[in-house]
Amino acid sequence: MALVRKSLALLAWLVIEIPTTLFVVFVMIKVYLEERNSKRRTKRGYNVKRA
Amino acid sequence: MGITSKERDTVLRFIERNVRVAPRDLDEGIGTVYERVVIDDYFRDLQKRCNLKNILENPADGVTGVPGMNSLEFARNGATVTLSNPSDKMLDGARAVWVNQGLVDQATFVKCPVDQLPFEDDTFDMVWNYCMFERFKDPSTLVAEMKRVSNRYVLIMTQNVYNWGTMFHKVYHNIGNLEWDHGYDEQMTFPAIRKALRGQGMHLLEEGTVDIPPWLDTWDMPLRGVLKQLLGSVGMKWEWKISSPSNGSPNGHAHGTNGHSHAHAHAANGNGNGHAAGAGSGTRKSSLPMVNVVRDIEHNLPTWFRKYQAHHLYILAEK
Repeated sequence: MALVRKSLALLAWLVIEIPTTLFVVFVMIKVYLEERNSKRRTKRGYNVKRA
Repeated sequence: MGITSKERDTVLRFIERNVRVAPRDLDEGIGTVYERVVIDDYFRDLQKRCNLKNILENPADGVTGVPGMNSLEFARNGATVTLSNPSDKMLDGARAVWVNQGLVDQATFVKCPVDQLPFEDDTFDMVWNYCMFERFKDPSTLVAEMKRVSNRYVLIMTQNVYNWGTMFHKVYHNIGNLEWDHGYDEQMTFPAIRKALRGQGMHLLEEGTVDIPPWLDTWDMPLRGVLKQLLGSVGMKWEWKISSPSNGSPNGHAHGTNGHSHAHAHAANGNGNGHAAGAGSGTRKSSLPMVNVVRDIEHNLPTWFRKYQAHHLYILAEK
């Protein structure tokens, strides 16, 4: 019984973990791209106020 | 060797950066809220079993969450708490949180170096810290000082280097060109904690794993804002918070609902095996239904799996 309970818990854990991990990876890439684009815009002077 | 000045500076920068970005609305994001709920389960059980009335958290922190939150559960259950930390900013933030929670009368805030505590020997029932031990290559002076001011117990809780999230978080620091300020990998393990405590002549009482939800330990990655933004764009609201001092309990005090604890501690009387005796009534239902489902899954995970996927490890030792 304990083995069944532990196996089911492990299965449930993995079923949720895999999509959430992919989601975290997606968010990391999104954050990275936003930061990179923001740096590029700043470098090109797009964010600099012009007189 | 002891704690180096570089390590002191890194810790201070880390703490003050977190104080700056920590949410003041107590909406810490689901990861931190879940962590807080399961760690609080363990604390309630521990406080009852060990009859803890006077507790020091040194150095105190809030990590990704609200500053000074870690020891609130002890105060909710009647203990007096001292938070010591080298940062004024952190202590000011913590004081505001404790005032907000109506528990400031039970708290003392002390600014001091992490390994030079201005307290008499044997002042506290327990001295503990959370994710601070691993920030020092040689934590012997820190642990010795914790032992000195404790009259019985020392608890060390760290991050777990084997958790998958560690790797992702290192990538995050790399791509963001951020300073690695989370400490030494080799210190985020059971053997390192055991060695440090035994090195001070302490007797290990129990060790365990806690916080094993089915998502990556994102450490301090700024997911909260991104999640809010993403769900907001489709008209949904993302909010996870423990909004009341009672942490979901109707009367504001900890009482177990099912008569047994799920803190999953193992006796550590020399060999690190076996189960701890005396687990009391620790777990109660959270006001957040998803937390209860995830917690039920966590409590049933096999021990071998827990060691590798837990976000946190802890060892309780006795003088």
